[in-house]
Amino acid sequence: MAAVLGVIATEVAACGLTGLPVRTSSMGEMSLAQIRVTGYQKTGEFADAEPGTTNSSAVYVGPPISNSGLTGVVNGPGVTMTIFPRPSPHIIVLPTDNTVWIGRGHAPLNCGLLIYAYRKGKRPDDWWNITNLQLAQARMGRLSIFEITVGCGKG
Amino acid sequence: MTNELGWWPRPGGASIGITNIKPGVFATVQRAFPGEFKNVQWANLVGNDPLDFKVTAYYVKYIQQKLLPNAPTALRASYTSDQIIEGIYNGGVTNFTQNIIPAGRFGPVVSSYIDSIAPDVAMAQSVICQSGAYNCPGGESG
Repeated sequence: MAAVLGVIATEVAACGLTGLPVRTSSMGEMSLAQIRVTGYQKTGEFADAEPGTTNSSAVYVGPPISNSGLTGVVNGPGVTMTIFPRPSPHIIVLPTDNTVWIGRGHAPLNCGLLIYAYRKGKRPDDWWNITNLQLAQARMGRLSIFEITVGCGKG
Repeated sequence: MTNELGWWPRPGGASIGITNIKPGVFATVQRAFPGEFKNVQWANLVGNDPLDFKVTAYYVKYIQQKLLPNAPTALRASYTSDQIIEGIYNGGVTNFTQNIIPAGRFGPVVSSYIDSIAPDVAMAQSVICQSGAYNCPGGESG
């Protein structure tokens, strides 16, 4: 009960002078905001929180690029990235998955970084904000779509 | 992701329905099992207990199919399959992918959760397995 009251108190305090709910950026969002992907357009972002962690994801669209080539375009303070020799270690790729996990690394603010590649022909999530034209071009191999997720905390 | 209740002052939006489903989990389940969730939206979970439990059950199935089979050996040595599912359910898929796979163990928050719900899981197991309606692992069946 004390924890619940604490959460309520925190959120009431966060309402500010307007009386409207105000949400400050999570660690995941602050970390992701420091990542730059040279030559690629960020089309969508989605943040989430679980017990002990916050995470934030962004989808990027741009010229065709190999998985290994991504290490040369993803930048930020403390950012490192390793692409797996074989994608999706320890995780089954389901037929309905629209991405596959291709690499991991470090993100700003002592967070972790996960990188996923779009699986051609699969339906994108709404939050990606991908246009039909971009989707068609990705299917033809004229565009690359990938997702970066940062996770902060040790749940 | 846009929705009518998206103003919730926490990342990922509100948890709604009797089983506290967030938009991300709903989208994951809807994508993984498209035939099961046609013509429903996350907001439909409010006041719809059968749908809430169905989404929850399918999210467990998603974890069971995608993340449990190749979970690290060290994790399997320390936890039962049910506990691994509980830990991923509580801590999230990103936490599992980023932290648990390389460490081979759950962190303090999720470990505490698994321990804290153990009596409830045992009670549920007892009620369900003795109901006669389900076949339970270990031969306690109805």
